[in-house]
Amino acid sequence: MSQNHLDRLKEKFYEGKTSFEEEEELFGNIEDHIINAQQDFYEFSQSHELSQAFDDNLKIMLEKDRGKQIRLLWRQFSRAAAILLFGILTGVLYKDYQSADVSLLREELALVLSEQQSAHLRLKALELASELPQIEGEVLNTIGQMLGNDENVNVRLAAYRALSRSANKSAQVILMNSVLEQESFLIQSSIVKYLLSLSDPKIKIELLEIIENSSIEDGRKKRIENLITL
Amino acid sequence: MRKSVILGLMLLVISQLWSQSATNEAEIKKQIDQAIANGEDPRVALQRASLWSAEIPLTKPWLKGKLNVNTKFSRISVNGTDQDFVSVYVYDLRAVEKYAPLNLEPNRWVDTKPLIEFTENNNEVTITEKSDKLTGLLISINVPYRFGLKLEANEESIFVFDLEGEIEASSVKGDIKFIRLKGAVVASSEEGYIAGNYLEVSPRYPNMLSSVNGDVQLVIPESASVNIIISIEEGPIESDYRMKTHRNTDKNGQSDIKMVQLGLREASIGITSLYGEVRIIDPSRNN
Repeated sequence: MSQNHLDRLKEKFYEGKTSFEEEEELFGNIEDHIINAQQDFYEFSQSHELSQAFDDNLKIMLEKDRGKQIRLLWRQFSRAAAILLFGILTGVLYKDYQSADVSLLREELALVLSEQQSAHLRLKALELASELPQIEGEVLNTIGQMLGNDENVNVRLAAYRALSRSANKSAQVILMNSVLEQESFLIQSSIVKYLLSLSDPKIKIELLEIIENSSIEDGRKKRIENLITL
Repeated sequence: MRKSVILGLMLLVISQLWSQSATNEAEIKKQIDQAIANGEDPRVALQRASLWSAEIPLTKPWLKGKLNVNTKFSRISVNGTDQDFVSVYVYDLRAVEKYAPLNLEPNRWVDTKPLIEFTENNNEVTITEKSDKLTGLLISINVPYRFGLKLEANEESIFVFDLEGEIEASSVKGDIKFIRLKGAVVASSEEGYIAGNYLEVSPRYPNMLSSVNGDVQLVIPESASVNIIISIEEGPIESDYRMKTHRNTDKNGQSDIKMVQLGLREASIGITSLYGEVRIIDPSRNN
C-alpha cells in the first residue's frame, strides 16, 4: 500500500467516512508500520554501539546539570536569606533609630518639664528621665540642680532616686556633694544610706572629710555624722 | 527701773491679748447661741462668724484656676464648691477648736482689719498672711471643684475637701489631709501625718507623699488603676490589698520595694516614710 493511499484512508477515517473493510485495511497497515518502526529502532540500536565516551559525556552533562540545579537552589536560598537578613537589619536599625528618637524626645521633654512651675510636671520630668537608657550630659546636670535647688521635697527626693538608679560615677559625685545642701532630713538620710551601701570603702572617709571641712552649723554637722557612723 | 517698765508693758500687752481672746470667745458664743435661738442654719452663722472674709472673682471663671496659699502659723482648709469664684473666710482657730463638738465654726474677731492679702492674676489666686506674726488662724477657702492647689503651711495643718485637680501641699509640723479627691497629690510633712481619700487617682501626673516622722494613710477604691510604691525605713506597712515585694537588683546591689497594684496600673503613687507607718485602706471593707 502506498503512503498516499494510507494518508487518504487516515483522512477518510477522521471524517468518519471509512467502511469496515477500509478500517481493517488501515489498522493492519498501522500495526505493520509500528512493528516496522520497532524493528528499525532495534536494528539501529544494535548497529550503533554507544561508546564509553558517550556515557562519560552524558555523566558529565548530568553532573553539570545537577551542579546547575544545586547552584540554582543555592542562589535562590541566598536571595531568600539576603531578603530575610535585609528585613531583620532594617527592623533592628529602625528599632534603634526609633528608640534613639524616642530617647531624644524623652530627653527634650524631660528638660522642658523640669523648668515648669508645677511640682507634678517636674516629677513627670524626672519620671521620663528615669526611663532614659543613660542619664548624662544636660539631663544629669538638670537633675543635679533639681536635687540641690528644687523647692519641693518630693521633687528633690525623686531627683535623688533618678540619680541613684543611674549608678554612674558622675551621679555619685553629685549625690555626695549634695549631702550638705539638703535641708530635708529624709533626703539627707536617703543619700547617705545609698552612698554607704555602695561597695566603696573610700566613700565613708570622703563623706566625713566633706563634713569636717564644711562650715555648716554644729547641730546639722552632728546629725549627718551620726547618719554616716551609725 | 527700765526693766520694771519693760516688764510692766509686757504684762499689759499679755493681759490685753488675754482679755481680747476672752472677749472673742464670749462674742462667738453669743453669736452662736443667737443663731440657734433664731432658728438659723448654724453654717450661715458660721460665715458671719468669720473674722474677715472676701470674695475673689476669677478673670476666666469658665477655665480651671489655681490657688497658692502660704502661711506660717495659720491652718489652711480648702473646699471644692459649685461656685465660680474664690471666697476666703478667716476664723479664730482657738474658737474653731472650742466649738468643734457643736459642728459650728467660730465668730467675729474684734479687729476688722484685713488679716490676709490676696491677688488674682489670670485665674491664679495667691493668698498670704498679712503678717507672719499672726497665730491661731484658720484660713478657709472655697474654690470651684476643678482647681489646682499649691498650699504651704509651716507650723499648721492643711485640709482639702471635694476637689478635682492637682494638689501640692507641704507642712513642716502640721498634718495634711485630703478628702474625696479626684486628681493627683504631691505632699510632704516632716512631723505630721498625711491622710488621703481618693475617689479617682489621675494617671496624668505622678502622686508622691513623703513624711519623716508621720504616718501615711490612703483610702483607695478597688476600682482604681494604680501602682503604689512604698519605701519605708522603720515603721510597719498595712494594706487591705495584696502587697508584693519587688527585688531590685542593679550595680549597687539589692533593694526591696513594696508595691500594691490595682487594675491596669495607669496612675502611680509613691509613698516614703522614714519612721512612720503606712496604711492602704479599701473603703468597701471599712464601711
